[in-house]
Amino acid sequence: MKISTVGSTLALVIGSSMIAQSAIAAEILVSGNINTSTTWTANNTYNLQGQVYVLPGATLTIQAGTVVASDAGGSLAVTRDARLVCNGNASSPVIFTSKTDKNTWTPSNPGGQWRAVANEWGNITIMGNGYIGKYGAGAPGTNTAAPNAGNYANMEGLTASGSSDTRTFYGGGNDLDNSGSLTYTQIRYGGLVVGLGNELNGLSLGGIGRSTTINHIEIMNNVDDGIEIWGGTVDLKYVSIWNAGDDSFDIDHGWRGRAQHGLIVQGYSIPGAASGSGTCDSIFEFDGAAKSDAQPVTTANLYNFTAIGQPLSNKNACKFRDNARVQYNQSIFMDIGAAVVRNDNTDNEATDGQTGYGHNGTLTWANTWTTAYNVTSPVNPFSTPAAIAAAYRAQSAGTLIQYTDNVFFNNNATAAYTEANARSVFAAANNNVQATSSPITSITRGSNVSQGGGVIQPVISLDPRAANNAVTSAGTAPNDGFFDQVNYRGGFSPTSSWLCGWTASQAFGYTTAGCSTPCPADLNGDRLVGGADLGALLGNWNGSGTGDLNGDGIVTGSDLGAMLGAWGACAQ
Amino acid sequence: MDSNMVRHMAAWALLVAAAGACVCGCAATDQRSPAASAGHASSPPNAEPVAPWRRALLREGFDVASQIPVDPHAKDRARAQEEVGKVCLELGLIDEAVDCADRMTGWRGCELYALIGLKYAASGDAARARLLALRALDYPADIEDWARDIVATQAARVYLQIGDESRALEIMKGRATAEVAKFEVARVASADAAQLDSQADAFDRGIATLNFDLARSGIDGYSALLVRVIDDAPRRDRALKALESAIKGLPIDLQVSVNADLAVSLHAHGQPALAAQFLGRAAELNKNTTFLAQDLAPYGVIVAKARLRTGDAAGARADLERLRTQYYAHSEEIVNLRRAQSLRALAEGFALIGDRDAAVRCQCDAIEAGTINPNSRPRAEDLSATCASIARTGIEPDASIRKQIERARAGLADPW
Repeated sequence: MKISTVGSTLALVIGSSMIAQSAIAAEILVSGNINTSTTWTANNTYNLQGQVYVLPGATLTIQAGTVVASDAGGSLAVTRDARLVCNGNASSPVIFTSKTDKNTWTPSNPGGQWRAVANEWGNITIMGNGYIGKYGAGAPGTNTAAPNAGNYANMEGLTASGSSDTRTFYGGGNDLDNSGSLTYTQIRYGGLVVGLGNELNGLSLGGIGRSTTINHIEIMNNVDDGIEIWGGTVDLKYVSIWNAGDDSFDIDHGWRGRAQHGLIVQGYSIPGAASGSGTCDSIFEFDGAAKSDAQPVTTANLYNFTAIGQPLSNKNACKFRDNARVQYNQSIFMDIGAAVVRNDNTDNEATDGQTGYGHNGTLTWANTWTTAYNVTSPVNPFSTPAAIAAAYRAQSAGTLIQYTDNVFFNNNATAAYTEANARSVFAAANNNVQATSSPITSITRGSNVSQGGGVIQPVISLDPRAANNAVTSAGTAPNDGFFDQVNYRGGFSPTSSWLCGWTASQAFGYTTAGCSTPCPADLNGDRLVGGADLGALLGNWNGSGTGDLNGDGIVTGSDLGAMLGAWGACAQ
Repeated sequence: MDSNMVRHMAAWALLVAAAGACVCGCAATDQRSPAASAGHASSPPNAEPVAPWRRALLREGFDVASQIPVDPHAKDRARAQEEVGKVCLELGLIDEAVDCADRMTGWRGCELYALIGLKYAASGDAARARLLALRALDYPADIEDWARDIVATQAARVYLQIGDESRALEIMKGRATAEVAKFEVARVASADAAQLDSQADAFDRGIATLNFDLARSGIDGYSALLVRVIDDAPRRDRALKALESAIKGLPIDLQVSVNADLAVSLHAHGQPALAAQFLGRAAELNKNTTFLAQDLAPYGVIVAKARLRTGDAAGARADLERLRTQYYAHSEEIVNLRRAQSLRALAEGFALIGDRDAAVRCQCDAIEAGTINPNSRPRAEDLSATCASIARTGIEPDASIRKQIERARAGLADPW
């Protein structure tokens, strides 16, 4: 890794990969490979220069409160056998964004404001050793249709430097693989690939194993997808995705994970862009495997999502392709512009297998809805060589595709429920509700914007807390150690919002409902600016971090003035 | 020589001395050992003497794994620790394994307790087995479902082995299908002869469900059943037919190991012709599959070991020499932290055929390959695994290898 510093700073560069931290904030330019374990600290801003890889064996640790604000072309990829330990917290997230965005932040508006842009930098890509289901066209010639520890794939958006460059590979034979942890992290305005004709997803996860921890992640404005997962078994909790320029939550190649507590808000990222290139496409796009008779095949389980579409966009809520099996439970699907359930059958991508449901003796589309969750395919069957791992664990009841205990609201397209009705989604036993009152507390949309061949009504204010039919669910998620057993539908309880304190959507003023007014001078979090806070500030005089209320990297008189100005109880 | 190196050398000497002075090792120092709790001296189920240096080397391996910082590497640390604990068990070093589990945090330590319990159960020591199962089931409250099921299944197997089937079934209630299937396989071992046909019927039904976990359970079940009915032609033929058909549906990597294991098992039960058939299938699969460079040796050695165990020492040697040549020709294609595992597999293979020199050379190279990565976490994982592997081979490290280990260990420091 090559590191250099910019601007007036006391930072010291030692050799090519070590740096001594200074008391004054610095912009650290990061380029090349991270070969040795490294910590990025909150008192600096890191600017990725080109594609930066964390190499096998290395751990990149990013402290809470760190900002990674990159120039165009900057991007981060974590290779197989490397680790990313990026843990923000509820009041001090890690923010990945563009330098352009960072430059708009001011002391009076420290989180910046929403802009109709994306592609200002790259993304976060993490690659692991979990099983993937991919063979045939577009896959390495050695891949097999049956699960094989030797199956791998080249990560979308990354370019290998030659045939011996394995940095871009994901997949393997360890579904318990550990790629580290990613929590309380914003990913804003990304998606740019330099020199290629395609875009990056906000967060790309290839072959990530279930020992990896991912929760409290927000993707704000990205082209291509918000999150895309290829194979593996990683679980996700507390996911917020806004204005993805293609699909919001995209799955391929046999993901067998779970997800709970999600918010997806469709919109657009780039004015005038087509759907898929800056204007939303589907909310969920789930592909099974490539080809579709490969294993592992996507077999997922989602609870408690609030999925908010665009009523005039003609875009779908949930697409299914190539034998994907997905269970949607206790969720809200509202304002969908087209079908809430759509069978695409294949992905129509020549380099990604195709062939659809029923290929080579696999279950047909109709039968996938009626087949019990624990009947895994006999075609190219799956196993794990390690006895401790089981292939399909995400689903624990019901059928391979199912919708239960959900609320559907304001889905007015002509064919909104055609496929859902054909699959008996609204059979009484499924406890799904077509509501006549909003299942969330409030939503405000801005003026119509012509986008992607349709009309987008941007969400400018949202209180996603459960209301009406979403307040009480018929059941709860299984008590399996991952899912929380909550008794409401959608991503939020009637009383609280997990978006508070760490998200861009709150910083932009979109989701402030249910959150306390930010009170940056309240250093100890007791909602009172008082002597304890003053002591903490004075104790860090001329330091960085704690007490640096204006974000200039050093605690000085101006921070003291700001604290005294805020003296007393914080505004509610 | 720096101070770290001096410290590690001293530690090595102390460990060897301590192990040599007290065969019971950990039981004397660990108040929490099940032996102590049960009120009598520990008596490992596998009572075959184990050389003190092997104990010391395993201790060294565990200590190396324990050097990995908990934050942020708790999961990697526990995995590396457990691997050493499993080798202790393999060598019958029960107290050492208990000591490993005592020093671990998280679910892997619980799993290790259960595995130790299985050893006690197999030796007929129900009291200690039960104690270990209880300890295993005392897993952390925040354990995830998949880990909880793994631990519970192993604990249930302990109860099954000691004859407490009702408690075993109680533990398995509500577990994931995959784990239940593994549990069902374990039940075969306790079935009496009158139940064998009904067991086979159950395996057939499992395979026919097209549920992979149950089908796999059927294969494992038939494999266990086969050796019990080897002299009963109709039952043996039924098992063979079912196995031959079902194995073809497994992933290739698994087909290799299942065929090789069956070959060894059949040979040991006086069926050389059948053994040769299964071995031939394993070898053919290996030959016709294009493995990644990092997988060539590990899978190839499985077949080589099976050749030796079925009486073909020359074939085993030829396999190992070919694999060694392949490894050195392609090692640069393997990411550095994956190289030592190939060399450890080769070393264990050469040790098995009695080629001590070749094994030692591979061990030396494994230690060196494990020092290439600039980060201590993967280096510690490799060194820990290599120490355990050397202990497994039974080839006592000479002074040169010990120095290599000391040097590698002395190099463990930031960055992790």
